[in-house]
Amino acid sequence: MNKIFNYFEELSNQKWTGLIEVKASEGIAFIHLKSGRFLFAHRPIDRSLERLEKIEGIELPPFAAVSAKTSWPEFVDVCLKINPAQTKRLIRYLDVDRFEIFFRIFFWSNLELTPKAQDSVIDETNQNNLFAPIKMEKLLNEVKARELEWPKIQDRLGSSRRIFVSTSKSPHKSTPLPDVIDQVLDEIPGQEAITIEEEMNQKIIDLCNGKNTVEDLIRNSYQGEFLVLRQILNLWDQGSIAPIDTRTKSLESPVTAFGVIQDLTKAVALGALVLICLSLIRRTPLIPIVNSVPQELHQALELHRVEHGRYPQDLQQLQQSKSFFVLEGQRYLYQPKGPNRYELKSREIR
Amino acid sequence: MRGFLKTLGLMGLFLVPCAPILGEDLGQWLLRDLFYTGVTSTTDLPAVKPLQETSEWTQIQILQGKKLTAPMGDVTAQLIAIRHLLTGQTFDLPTFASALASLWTEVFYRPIDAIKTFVRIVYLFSPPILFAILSLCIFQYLIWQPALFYDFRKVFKIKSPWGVYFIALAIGSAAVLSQQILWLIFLMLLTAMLYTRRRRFYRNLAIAFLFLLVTSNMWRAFHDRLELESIREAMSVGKNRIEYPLAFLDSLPPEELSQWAFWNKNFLTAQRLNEKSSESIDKVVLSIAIDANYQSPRVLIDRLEQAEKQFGRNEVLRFNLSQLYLKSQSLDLYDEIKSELGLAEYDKFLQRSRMTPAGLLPPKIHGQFWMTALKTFQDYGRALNQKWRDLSFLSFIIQLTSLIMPILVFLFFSFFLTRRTSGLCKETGHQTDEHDDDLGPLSLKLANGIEPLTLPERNQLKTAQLFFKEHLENLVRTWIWLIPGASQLKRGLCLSGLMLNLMIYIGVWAGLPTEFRSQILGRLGFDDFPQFIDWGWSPAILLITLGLIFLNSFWGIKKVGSS
Repeated sequence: MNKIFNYFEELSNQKWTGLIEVKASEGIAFIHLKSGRFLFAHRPIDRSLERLEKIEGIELPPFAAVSAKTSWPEFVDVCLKINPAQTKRLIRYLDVDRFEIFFRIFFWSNLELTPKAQDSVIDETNQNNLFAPIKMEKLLNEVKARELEWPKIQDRLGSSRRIFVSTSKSPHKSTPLPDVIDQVLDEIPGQEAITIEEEMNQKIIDLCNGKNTVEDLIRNSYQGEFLVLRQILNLWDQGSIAPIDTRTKSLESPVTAFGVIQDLTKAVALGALVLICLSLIRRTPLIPIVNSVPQELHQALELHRVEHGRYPQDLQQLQQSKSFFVLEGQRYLYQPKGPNRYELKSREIR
Repeated sequence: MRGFLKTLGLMGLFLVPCAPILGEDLGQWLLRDLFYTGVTSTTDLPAVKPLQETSEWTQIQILQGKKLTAPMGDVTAQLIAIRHLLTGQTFDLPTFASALASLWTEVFYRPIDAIKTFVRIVYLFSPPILFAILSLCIFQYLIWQPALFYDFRKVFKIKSPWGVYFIALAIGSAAVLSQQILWLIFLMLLTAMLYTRRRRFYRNLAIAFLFLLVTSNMWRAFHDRLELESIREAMSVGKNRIEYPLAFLDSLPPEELSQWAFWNKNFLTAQRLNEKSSESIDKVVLSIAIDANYQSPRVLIDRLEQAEKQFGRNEVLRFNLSQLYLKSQSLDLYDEIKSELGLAEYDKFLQRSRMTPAGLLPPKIHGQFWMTALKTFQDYGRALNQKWRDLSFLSFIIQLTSLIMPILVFLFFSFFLTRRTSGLCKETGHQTDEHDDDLGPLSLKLANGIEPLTLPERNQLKTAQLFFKEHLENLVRTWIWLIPGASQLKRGLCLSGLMLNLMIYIGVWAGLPTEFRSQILGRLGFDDFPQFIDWGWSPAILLITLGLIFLNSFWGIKKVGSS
């Protein structure tokens, strides 16, 4: 990696202008420099088309219309023309990709760089500053930062076979720390900061359905491996997604029928003990209580007599009558004595 | 042995005069028949007039749908009347104001009757009060579930995830079956005290329940004392009901029993009972008040003057004498006594004498209001002393244990278990080793800042924090419909949560049909006291409360959502 790093530093110092063709095991890329400053980087058109297909709502030209001979600025022009409503969004995506490819080549293997010195054919001011020159030094600093960050990301995520699932928690609307790319873009006049993060986040959350592995997430996302993994961690930190293994860690050990029966037995034994103790306490009043018939019961009988012309036959009849008094009938011994008399005692002697 | 026989003999002597009194009709049937005749008769009988100021008269008016003119009777009847006036189809402001004024007067005029009513209202509303505390504890358990479950599993060596629920269900069922709902709440409060950061709040509530449990027998005695004193109060300031708790009449001495028969217009029994009481001025005054129905004023004056010479001056005696002077046209003597008594005192006596058949007053029943509580303590101590002396050793141990059991349980929870329970990390909601550990290992590492968190640790911590926060919010969203104070409890506002629970539950309870309420009270073992007169089915109260529940729930959920 150091060799490539030094190589680009050298080009920057020499204020070199031209195209560098990059060939590696992971793919092919093209990097354009002007006076030692970075203009843009891109993949071959066919590969770029495949990647752009992952963005929802973007229409793409047919492959035949943009043959291999078409230059990258021409391709971008075509894409922007057929998506007039999505121009800004598309530019933001292309902007991300513009830097991302450059950063990725530092992590590629079996790298072969072929510089082709030439005068720049790109109008830098065109196309919403999409090709505005950037100091190489800034980008190389970002490469250094990523070099340090990459192993940490790998460490935190562990296996690429890990599966995440989205939670009900929505992600924060803005990231707490701006990305290095954001910082770079902020310095470009007229260039808006990257605000497609929410869209990208949502895409990842949608993909975290409990089935897709981290590999699948990378494959189905536009951003590329590094940014996807970084976003996964960010969303994980925010609680929007969580790995399934973490959630299942707290689950109980397997339940056996024998264990359940043992627990039931313990509960029944404890319940019986408590029942005996509490019943004993209830049955031991410490002072003699007057065993009285409540005055309300006598009142209810009088009201019943006024209503029906006589006292009820039993307390059940009293309860069923229109009289507005309800009571527990078991505690009292009621006996009618003729039409206009009754005897009422409290049954329980305590 | 001789001492025992002596005691038995003395007790026998004491019981002999009381024996024929027990269960005797002291004019109750006369009153009942008069009430029935008065209510059913179309003519306005003069004898019925005093009965129109009784509780039963107001109740029958409400029951028969008659228009209330001036609600009378005891506090209970007046409260029912006020409710009836409020919920009636037409609102009569003068009658309503008169009922309120009448209630206000009654409360001060008959404080014992008012206290008795208050005790019964509290008793009637005890299920919602208890349920409010119960739900408070349940929500506390839900928040502290990890620590609670961990400790239960450790103590009871539980092997299945449902084991804790089995045990909780068993203890709860045992308490309900033995109708010891107070014990259940007490135990739940103590457990909540272990698993909370508001220990003082739960401890105070537990202490209140401890006091209730330890003194439950005394409260029963206090209630009995109130019943007895309400009878004495009725004799002192006038009866406002037809029916009284007659079993307590047996506790009265013969002279007071005699007076009770006098007020019921059963003069023969009254005279017979009066003869059994010891010689005193009160006995003579009552005897003359009874004989005033049969004898001429001249004979009565002679008897009163003789009694005055024998026993000295007495206000009631002087008043009765003045009335007899008035009847016999000795106006000078009448004026002399009237000015001697003072106008206010004379008027008071005169008002009271109009309730008696012959216009003569029985002796004063001395007010026992301030002595009631003290007497209860004395009686309780005496009964305890007597009962424990008669107990066998085993029974004594059981009695003693039952008395001190709540105290022992409280001490066990307060001093032994509090130091041995797990805690809860306030950031991640994970169980910690000790109650005082408010932070789990990762949160502690972050808080201390000595050793930085590794990236996986930081990630784990953040995930746990978010899960805990979400868990609490979900708890509120789910339970706020049943536990209205859930939102407050989540924020640690225990008292506000309890008050909100209380308010809503009381509203629901007041709106439930009476039969349903009655059944619940019976099932919970709250049938010791007589049940309160029906307050009727109140769909309006229920609807208002349901509206409050909806509003509170939506507000609580919205608040959780916005946070």
